[in-house]
Amino acid sequence: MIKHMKSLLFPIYCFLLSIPAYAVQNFPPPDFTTGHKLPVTPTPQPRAEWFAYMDIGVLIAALMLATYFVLWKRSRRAIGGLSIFSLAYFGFYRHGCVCSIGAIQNVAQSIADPNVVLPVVAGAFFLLPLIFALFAGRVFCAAVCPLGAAQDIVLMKPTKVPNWLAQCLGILPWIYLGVAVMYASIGSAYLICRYDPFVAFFRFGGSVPMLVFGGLMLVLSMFVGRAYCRFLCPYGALLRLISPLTKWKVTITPDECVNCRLCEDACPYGEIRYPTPTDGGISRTEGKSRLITLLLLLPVFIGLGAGLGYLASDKLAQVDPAVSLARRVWLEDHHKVKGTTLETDSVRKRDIPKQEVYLQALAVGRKYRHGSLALGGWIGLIIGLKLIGLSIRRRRSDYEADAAGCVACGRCYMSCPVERVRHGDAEAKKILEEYRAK
Amino acid sequence: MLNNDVDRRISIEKHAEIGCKSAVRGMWIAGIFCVLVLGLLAGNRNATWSANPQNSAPLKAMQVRLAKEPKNESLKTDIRQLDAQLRHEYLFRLTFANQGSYVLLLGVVLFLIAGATAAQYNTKMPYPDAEQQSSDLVRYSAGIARRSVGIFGIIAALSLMVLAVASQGNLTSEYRKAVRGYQRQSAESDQANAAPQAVQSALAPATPIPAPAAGNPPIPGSKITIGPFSPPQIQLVKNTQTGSNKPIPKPKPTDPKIETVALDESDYKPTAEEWARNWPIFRGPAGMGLVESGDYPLKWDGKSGDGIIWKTAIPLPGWNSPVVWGDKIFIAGADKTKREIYCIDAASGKIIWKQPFAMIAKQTDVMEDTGYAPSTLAIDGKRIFAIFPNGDLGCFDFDGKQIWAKSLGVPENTYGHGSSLTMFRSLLMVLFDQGSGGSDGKSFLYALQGGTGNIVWYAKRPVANSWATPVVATIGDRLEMLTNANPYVISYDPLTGKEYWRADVMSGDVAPSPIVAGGMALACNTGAYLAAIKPGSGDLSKTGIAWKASDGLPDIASPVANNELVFLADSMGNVTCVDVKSGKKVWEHAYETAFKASPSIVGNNVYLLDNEGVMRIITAGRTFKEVGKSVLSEGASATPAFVGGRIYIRGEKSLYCIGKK
Repeated sequence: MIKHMKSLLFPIYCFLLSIPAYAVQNFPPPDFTTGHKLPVTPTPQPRAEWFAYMDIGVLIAALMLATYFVLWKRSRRAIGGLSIFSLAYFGFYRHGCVCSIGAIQNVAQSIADPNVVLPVVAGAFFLLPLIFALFAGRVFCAAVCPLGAAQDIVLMKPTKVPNWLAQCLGILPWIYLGVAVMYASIGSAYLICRYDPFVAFFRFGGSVPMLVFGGLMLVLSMFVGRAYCRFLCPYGALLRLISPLTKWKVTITPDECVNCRLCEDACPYGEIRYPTPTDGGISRTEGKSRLITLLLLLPVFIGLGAGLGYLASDKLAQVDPAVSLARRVWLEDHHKVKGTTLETDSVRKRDIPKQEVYLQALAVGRKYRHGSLALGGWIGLIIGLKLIGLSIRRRRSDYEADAAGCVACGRCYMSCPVERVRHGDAEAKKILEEYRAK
Repeated sequence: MLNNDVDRRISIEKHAEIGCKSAVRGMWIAGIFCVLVLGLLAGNRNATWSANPQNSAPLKAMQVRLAKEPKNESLKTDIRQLDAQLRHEYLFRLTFANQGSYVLLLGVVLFLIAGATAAQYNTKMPYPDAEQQSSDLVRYSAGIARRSVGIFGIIAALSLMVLAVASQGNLTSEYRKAVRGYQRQSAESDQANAAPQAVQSALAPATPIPAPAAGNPPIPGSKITIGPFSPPQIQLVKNTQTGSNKPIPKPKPTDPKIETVALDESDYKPTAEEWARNWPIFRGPAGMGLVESGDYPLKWDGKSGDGIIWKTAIPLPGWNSPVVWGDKIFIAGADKTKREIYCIDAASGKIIWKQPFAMIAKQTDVMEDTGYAPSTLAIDGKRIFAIFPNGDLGCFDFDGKQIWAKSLGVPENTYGHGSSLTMFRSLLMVLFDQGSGGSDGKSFLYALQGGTGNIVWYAKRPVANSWATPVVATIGDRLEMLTNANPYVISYDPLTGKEYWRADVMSGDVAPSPIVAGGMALACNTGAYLAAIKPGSGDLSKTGIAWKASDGLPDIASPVANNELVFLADSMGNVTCVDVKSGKKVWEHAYETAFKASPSIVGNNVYLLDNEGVMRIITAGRTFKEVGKSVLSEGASATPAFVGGRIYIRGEKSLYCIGKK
């Protein structure tokens, strides 16, 4: 029954997502005056303040429910239901904003620029999932994040990403985090919002490239579970950092692991860790020597990254509107490009001295030199730490959900015979007894 | 029994096989259908582009031809026909694309349903094989992962290198070259503007008028000078006497060097008694809408003429209020192309003279609610001063002769500059807030020598464009000049420009002027607060706020207060009374009208003039009580002047004198 419902839900979901494709069509007004007055585009009213607090209330309630479903009820069905609600509320109703992922930028900018005030709602959306992660793991990803929910629902035929590729792609969210923080703190752009693949669907409108990008991400998510969450989401990177410290970790089994291996392939996101061989898979001497080498190389990675970042600052700065305007003005003045843009026309019409435009670009450029230096160093640090992480011996005797990567979707629960016995499954009880007898 | 089980299992497997095959076939059919539809839509897209009238080459060519032959009627007809034809085609293409998208969507949905069904048939049950995690496998896997991450790191480094190489061809060095000379100018200006900008010691009555500062020469043949504090805008200075236009030789990009002179009051300074007897500035002698005594009328009728002594049409429009000195009333009017100062005889209402004020800077665009003459004139008893939204500032004598004029530059002002001028002794105070505030350094407060227009002191203000008028008042035992803007209420020493204190309490577009009551500075704006600030020094944002209130905050009209109660009127028609000591609301009353003119307290009454020209008079007490209601024959937004038992009200078109004949 549930499978049939899923088959129905998916096309409905696809239909909803496709509506924005028929976006507003621009049409030029007639060439001759007809006396017709073009209607004034109404400016949407800002949301009432209490609405923002309601959003915080809904977020807290959803996080609490997700915690209950993940840790106590251990119900995939309940988690899925809450995901659909979150997708409907935070996604389609709230148009994907404010979201915890984008709130990173608000926080970064308010820290970097004392003139920027952090909105309470953005602060709450940034902090609350992190606080919950300290106690209950990534329950936010499980059933509260609309982006995660969108990908989770379309997952049809999960494919296992090879470990080497997953480890490489796992670096991307950290780099994206660094880049987004740099651009937001300088005040140039909110890249996370600009390149949010699903927001165009949530808002029933967006540019064609973003609709295509979102569509591709969804198609990819049919085969690669939560591709955005795992390999791009900068907030996921922060949650990865905090989740290992979780007080009550998500477990595959509600009791004792019998090493039946039935859960080995239950996680579509490849976050189940197998028991390790007794020697940890790495010889002690070899491991120690590699670890020391990498620790010594870490400052080199950071320095190299910082240096290259510093040198690349001018190019990175071109995202900033002031820098791109100055560039365009210069190119037009030196006849390197044909025609003008609205922005350069505005500069000329308003009699703004070009030197002012250049000065502003230079001022922004100075900020970027510092920002790019830090970003390059950050990339070096991330790659160095990743290599160190892969060189550390870890020991496990049971099948465990990776505390950092597990998004607490609950798909593995029912693959565990211990869990099934808890639900009164007689066949599972037999299997369990067999394993215990072994 | 066993056979039955086997048969059932075989039957299930057969059904599954058939189902799976059907699903896969469905996928293929839906997929091919989608590709076909997609192809049609792609073809349609090209046709849509060509059909868009904006992209039609023949149409553009005809439009170019029409520009050369504007009276060619047959060409116009051809254009109309082609335009209509293209629009028809374009709309058809759009409809095709729209409906085709739905068909495509249907195909995609069918494809996905078939795919999901096929995937379900192919779901494999968990069947762990014998292979466990061996040491070799773990080591191999970790090694591969490390190498991959290493390669990823190299790719990241190479990407940064590519960006670094691309950055070398950047234009930064070109920008530096372009701004080299420009920066020098800026540096000089910054040095000149270093705080404190206040001046030369203030009181030097015997000091002769200094010669014009270098760089600020008088233009031969007139007394107009090119403003020594010309702002960044390139501007033309028009010599009103010769009519010639002279561009400023070198437009100064940032704050220019501002020459200041010592205060000289030997020329003229009104006495306190003269000052109090007249209505020389916006909201009266104190600038706070207070009229302590006098027998002012409570009832009149502009339509029947009852209680109206005279009514005079003002040639040009304006929202500025009348100012009065002796038997003369002064008022300004302007439209986009011309500006005039009017002198009106208080006894008869006749226009004694009208003096045009030629444009110095280029005219700026303003909002209709601001108009081209929003700022109230100021009088020092001997001269009249006027400022207009494009930053042109002029001084005239009582016979209408222009004494000096200068441009402060066209301000960056959202609605158009509207702050009124004010006077302190012989100093003309000009609040010139503009820009978006913060560190943009565009807002200034200037104190000019009334007789010469030379700057005695100036202060750079860290605020955004504002529309409030500064007020000079005694608080405690200190004379302070209060300003209200976003985000600061700032107090200055009116003689030197030294900042006494500031408080970060405002936000938004600030228009209400500050007042003093109960020994505190009171400032307000809609969306912020009515804040009572205890005078002190430094930043009083946290330590100096006696109270803040949020009820009935006005958006345009300034507050008025006696020492016990503050009265607020907003453009929604609300009138609110607040206790001066506690900040608590005493009462509020909602009129179905709008108040833009600032209220005045006359004796024990508050005079509230609404947009429809209705004056509502209420008692200045703790309970709401209306004691009078009178009308003009037209709407009004300017604040009335109360002098010698007469009320002068500027309506939309006329000036009214109300009182006993």
